[in-house]
Amino acid sequence: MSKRICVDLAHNAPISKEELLKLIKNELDKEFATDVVAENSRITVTLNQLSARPPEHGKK
Amino acid sequence: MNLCLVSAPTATDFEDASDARSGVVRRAAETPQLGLLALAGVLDGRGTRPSIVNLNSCYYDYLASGRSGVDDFAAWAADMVLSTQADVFGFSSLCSSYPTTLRIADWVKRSRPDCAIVFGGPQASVVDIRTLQTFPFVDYVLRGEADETLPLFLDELSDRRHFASIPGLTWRSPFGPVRNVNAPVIQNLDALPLPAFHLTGELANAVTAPLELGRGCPFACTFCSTNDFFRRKFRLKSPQRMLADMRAIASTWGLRAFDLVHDMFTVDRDRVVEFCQCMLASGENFRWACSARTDCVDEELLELMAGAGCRAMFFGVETGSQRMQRVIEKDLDVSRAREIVSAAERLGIETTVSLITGFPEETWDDLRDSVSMYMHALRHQGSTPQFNLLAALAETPIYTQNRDRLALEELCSDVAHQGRKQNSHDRELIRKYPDIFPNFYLLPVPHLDRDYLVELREFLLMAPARLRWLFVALHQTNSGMLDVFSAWRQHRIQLRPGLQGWELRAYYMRDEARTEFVRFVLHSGMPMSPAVECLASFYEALAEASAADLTLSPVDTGMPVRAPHIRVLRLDWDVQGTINSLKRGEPPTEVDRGRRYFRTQSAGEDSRLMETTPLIAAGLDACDGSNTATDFVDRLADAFDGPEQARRLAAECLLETLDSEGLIEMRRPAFPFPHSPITADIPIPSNA
Repeated sequence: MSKRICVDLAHNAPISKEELLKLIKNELDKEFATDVVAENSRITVTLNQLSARPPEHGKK
Repeated sequence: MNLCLVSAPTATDFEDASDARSGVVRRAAETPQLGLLALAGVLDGRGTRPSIVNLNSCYYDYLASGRSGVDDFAAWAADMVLSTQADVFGFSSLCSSYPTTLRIADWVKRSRPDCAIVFGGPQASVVDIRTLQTFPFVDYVLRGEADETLPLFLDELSDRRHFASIPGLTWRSPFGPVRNVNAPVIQNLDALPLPAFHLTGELANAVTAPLELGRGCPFACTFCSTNDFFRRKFRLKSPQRMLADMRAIASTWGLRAFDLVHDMFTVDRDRVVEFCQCMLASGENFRWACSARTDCVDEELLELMAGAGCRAMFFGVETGSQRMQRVIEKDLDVSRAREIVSAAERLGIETTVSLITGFPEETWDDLRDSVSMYMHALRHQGSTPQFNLLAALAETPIYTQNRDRLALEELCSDVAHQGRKQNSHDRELIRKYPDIFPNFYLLPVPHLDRDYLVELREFLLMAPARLRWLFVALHQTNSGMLDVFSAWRQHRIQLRPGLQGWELRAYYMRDEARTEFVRFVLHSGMPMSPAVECLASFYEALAEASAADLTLSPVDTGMPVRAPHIRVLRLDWDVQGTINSLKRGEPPTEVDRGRRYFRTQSAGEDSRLMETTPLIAAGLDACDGSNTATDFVDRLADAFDGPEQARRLAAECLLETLDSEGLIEMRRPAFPFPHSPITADIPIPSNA
């Protein structure tokens, strides 16, 4: 596993737990949402049809 | 005289209890029934407060009582209706649930032969005579808009019983059913009261509030029945009235998002501008959705609407074929429709693009054009395309032209039925009375193969929720999605011969269909572009990660494990870059093969994907149920530089962060670790 993935502790000494937690939280903040809806149920699709046009107008 | 108003059920379409209980179904099903509440508002204002039975809510109570299926629901729901102690029962009706509504009314009448049963709503209004002729337990049908005629009817019912004087009423005379003249439409919609949301309290749990923006579409599409229900008389409530209603709902229920209901809001551009300017001047920042035609908006108007709070629009494009646009008398410019969908996406307006297949005049070339339109919408992240089978809605021009050539198949149009499988009792009614339930029948398709169409619809519906970008990549880098489907269908028939009807639908709703299709794409030898290979590999990896996680359970193992729905993927493909190219309609000629890490992110019932960092991926990977918290620290400490004590603390902090962010679950107490007081600062020599 690659070293220096997150924090190089040697250059942040002394370091508190709070600072470590903050650094790791920053790591999470580097995530970005990929524009892929990974999965959901087929029901979502069907219900989109209902909700996009309220039933009283969508189903005659 | 006590009145009970009963809604038309929609949740009963989902006979499978787990489908019905899914959050998305439930949210839609528990939307307040606007038409019913509008009538209740009128009556309440006149001092007649009706009871209201929402049959969707009843259905959930029914499921919660341990029952399932809709076979026994009619009798159960009838008890709920009867418990209101009313003398007059008014049933709203929709085409999809008309058989269920009739069976409930039958039960009510059997228990209370002296009560009056009056039907209303879109379906009963067009099959009024046949309903009275066929079902003796239905006493009256009040057709069309009933805001003014329902009070008149109730007065006559309790007093003189001169039913011939009530416009819009169909009733039984000694000589048979009589249809009175149509009631005039309500010209001044501002004169109507706010729907009686206060009688049900349903908005307390709602995310959006439905509000009627107006009524009546002036166009004359041959498949549509709504235009006739509202007599094709276009009317709008004033912007000031809409703003007042929105403010009232925001004040009472705390809701600031609205579904503005009108079949065709954008007929009059000036009035749309006026509405938007009113919204902007109010400073309220309400969010709203509406329906429109693509030829009644332009980019400038869309920009104004987006600024005024419009977040979603429904576009009934119906067909991607310019020839068929003329045949069905919709007459949209298909190229323009594509531009409008793209413009809405740029402006942050989500779109629903509804398409229909199965027109009697439709040819393979027309079908190819419609699939192309579907795929155009699909490449916009904010667009949800629909692909529906045409239903023969009662008394529409398309129905009257083809009434003797309708076919009852196992799978019918979504407009008629949304669930997986149709109830056997309903099915028998439908078979016996095709002229009352024509929407469950399909029209002849002499130029097409109906089995092919039915499967194409099921296939395409996989895309928006599951395989959007693979579908888009296939469409953009092959000769079109229709050809891909044709090749896949040949393969599917060999793989699973004999699959048809409900079994076919069930197959496409399961993971197997997705997995087998992705495998087909990767291994069938079909030409594969870099984008297709990237996305097929991605979806395959996702499916494998999903299957591998099923056995994790923190309670049993006592070890840190990934939270449900958190999965980790390693991929040597630039998935996001590929998707960005596809969005522009420019599939990449090559894809960066650098190592990337992904994790799923659960949001309600949907699951998104996040590209994550190697450290987070490694941490989540270690939480596979085989490592204790101490094992985790031993393993992940190596991911950091520095003295051992500091590296171990960093690994503990990583574990704690994953836990606090809800990405893993742990049996307590996992903290604090005995060997390191986690509140203490750790001095690290600068030359470590």
